[in-house]
Amino acid sequence: MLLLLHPLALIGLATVPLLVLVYVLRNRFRPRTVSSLMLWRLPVEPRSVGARREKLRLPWLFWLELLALVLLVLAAAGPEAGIRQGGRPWIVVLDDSVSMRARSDHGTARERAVALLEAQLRERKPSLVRFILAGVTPRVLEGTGAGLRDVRSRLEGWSCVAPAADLERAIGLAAEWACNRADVVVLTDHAPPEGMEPGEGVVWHAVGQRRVNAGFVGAARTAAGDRDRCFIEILNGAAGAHRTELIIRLGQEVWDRKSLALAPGERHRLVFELPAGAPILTAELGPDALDEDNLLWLAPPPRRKVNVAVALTNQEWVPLIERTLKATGLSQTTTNTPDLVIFQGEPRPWPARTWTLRWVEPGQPALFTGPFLLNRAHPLAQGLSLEGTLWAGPTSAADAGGVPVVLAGNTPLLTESVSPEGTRHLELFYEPAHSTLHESPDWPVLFWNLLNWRAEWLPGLREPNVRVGAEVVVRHEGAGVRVRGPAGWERTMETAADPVVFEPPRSGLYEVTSGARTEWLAVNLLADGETDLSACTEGTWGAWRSEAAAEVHSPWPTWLGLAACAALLAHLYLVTAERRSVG
Amino acid sequence: MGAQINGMRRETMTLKSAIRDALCAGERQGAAYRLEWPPQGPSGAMGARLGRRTGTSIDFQDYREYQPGDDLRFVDWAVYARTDRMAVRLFREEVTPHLDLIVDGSRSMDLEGTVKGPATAFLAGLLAAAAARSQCTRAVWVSGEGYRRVRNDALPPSAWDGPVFDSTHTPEQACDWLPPQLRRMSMRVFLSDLLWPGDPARLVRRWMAGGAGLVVIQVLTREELDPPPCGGVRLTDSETGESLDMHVDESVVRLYRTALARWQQTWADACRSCAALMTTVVAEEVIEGRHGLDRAGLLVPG
Repeated sequence: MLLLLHPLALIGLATVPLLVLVYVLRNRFRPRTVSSLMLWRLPVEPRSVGARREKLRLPWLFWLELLALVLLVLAAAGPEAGIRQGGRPWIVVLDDSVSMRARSDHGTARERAVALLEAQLRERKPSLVRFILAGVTPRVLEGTGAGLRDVRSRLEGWSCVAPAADLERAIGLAAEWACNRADVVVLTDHAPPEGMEPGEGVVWHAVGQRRVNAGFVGAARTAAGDRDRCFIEILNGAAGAHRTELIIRLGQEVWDRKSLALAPGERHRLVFELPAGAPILTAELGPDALDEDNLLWLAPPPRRKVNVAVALTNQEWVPLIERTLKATGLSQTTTNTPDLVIFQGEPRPWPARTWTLRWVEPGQPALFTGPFLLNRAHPLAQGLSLEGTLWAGPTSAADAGGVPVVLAGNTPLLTESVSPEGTRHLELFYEPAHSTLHESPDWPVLFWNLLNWRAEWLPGLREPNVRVGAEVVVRHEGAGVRVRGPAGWERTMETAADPVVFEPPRSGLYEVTSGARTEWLAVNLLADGETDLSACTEGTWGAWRSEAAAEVHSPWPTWLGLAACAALLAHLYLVTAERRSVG
Repeated sequence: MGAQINGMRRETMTLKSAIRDALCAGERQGAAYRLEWPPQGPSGAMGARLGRRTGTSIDFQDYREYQPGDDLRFVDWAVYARTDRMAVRLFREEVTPHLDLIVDGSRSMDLEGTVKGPATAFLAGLLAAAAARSQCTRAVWVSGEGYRRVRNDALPPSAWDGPVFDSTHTPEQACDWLPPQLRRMSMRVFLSDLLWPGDPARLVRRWMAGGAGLVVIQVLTREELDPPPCGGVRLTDSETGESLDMHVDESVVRLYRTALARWQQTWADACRSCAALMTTVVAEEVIEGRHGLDRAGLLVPG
């Protein structure tokens, strides 16, 4: 079916009769003198039978000009052929969030969406189908086939495990690919958000249903001294009241069981403590529409201690340092290779992974009352104020090396340098006899920051409890990392890069092994938007692209324009050849 | 010569200078030729060239029986002694042959943008020079409102004051109004494009009447022989000024060629019926030195 996007351009065809007229007039009056008309009259005679209509005979140039004219007019009219409404390609945006797994009497939302899609495919028969998974970030499923078998095969990659669906980004990507040619089909479980009106070319199908559902939407387990502090938050995501049962297990044993009666949208929070060293906590809610948010795991938080060695030449301050280290709760003394050495005197060689804090007492100290300049982005400066602090430091900056962390004017008081192996070496210019820093709250803060920073660089998981979609950081000191997760998921990372970062694909318990160390990683859904099914609905918004709006970027005008150019070039060649022959 | 003519740029030549240059070129080339007379020999007034009839020269021709009144000085007494019969010796006559060169002076003979006029002048100069080398007198006639002799036509062609091609009348009309005074028993050569409607046989008979021979030379350009398919044109007759609008394509060209061939055949038939000779030359080839009159038997080198 031929479609003209700009039919008014056909007015240009009115120039065709003008061209014919010009040629007729020009041909009629091209003068030429001959010796006699005697022989020329012979071909057109006899005239005795009456008037005879002369056939209009025109040269090649005329036909070339006519061809170029018609091609240009057609190019301006924007013809489009070959793509019917049903034959237009589709770009299907699939909601890849967990809420599409919500079950009702008619199966899950995903199953209803697949059935709807297949019905639409049978009805409209698109020329090709491309899928975009709308998760936290849009992803593309390979393949463009429009056959039902091909589509079903590719839809197996639609797993609906993402903690959220960024449909707007996915639709934006689809619209960019569509180039006003394809229809964008959205399959999700809720209506378009406020302020978003699917226009022509975007068809929004919602296949969700409001079902009873409650789930875990928040959880944490942190070390608090010799106990673990736990926090659990439960949301009733149903439109009505919901009663369910909460079972908390420690290992295989039931630690607590309680019945919950939740109002619509109510959040129930639990805070409790566990003894340090308690096994993995498992929480479970009663069955409802969505199973994925009914399970929760909380792994024990890591209690890493930093091996600190103190080697001060001025024994007067050793008790101060030891008290400070003890107050942080993050240090332990060891006879093995220390993680951190606090020393005085000239720098010495230390083991490759040992951090150092060199305490320099200036002989002729200068007293600084502030203001102090702090590198607020540095881990050591977190929480430091230094207000009202007297700091006896060096008289000049000549002795200092490394990057300043704390400055008084242009005099560095605390500096940091990094060795090629990545270990940190700090220099503290401080004379306690004339200073008040060690008597202020900033002193333990400074050392807590130091030990905490060092502890973060110790091997192991940085955070054992994360949400789905979050990145997990593991330090392994070159030993490599092996991760085993639910449903046989496994990944081995033998790399020199330290730390390694990976993203668990779904919620569940993961075993992280690095060298001889094995830790548990708990990955939980904890997504309010997925647990809350109160906004789920069914319906269709938007419209299929109409014929007239299709193919704004059709290639036909380009090809027609090129053909017109070719005709004009041929015309130019003929004119030039004719002039050359006449000359 | 041909190279000289070729050296002249057609666009820059004015009509008169081009005609004069062509006459000079024809005169120079004609110095290498002699006129070839008809088989029965030349005719004309008493002169220095042997004629085709008996006369008073010293060249013996034949015997015939004596008849009363014959000059006794021509009786061959030796024959009478041997045969007892009176026989008279006949000698060939001595004549002065004459060439009447008749030139079509109509405008079509010097069509603008063609070399038809110079080619005609070249042929006239060539024939006149060849006639002079054949000890032949000549007269050059040009048609107009009647026929008039070209001034100084007894002088070499380079000194002629013509011909001028400016007539709007056909040679046939001119002949009706004022025919040329052709010498009896003269050789006649007619230079024309023959492109006018009329009766060829009538004119050929008039040219042939009282003459020793007639050669009709048709001068045409290449375009007149084989016109190109040039599309829609308004054709204007150079003499009558009449116009004809038509589209000249291959089919029309084919019809034109057929008509031209038919017309040439009509002229050839008319000439053949009067024992005249007809030949067609291409103006451009004449200008290039390939006149073809030697091949036609009108000129012989030497």
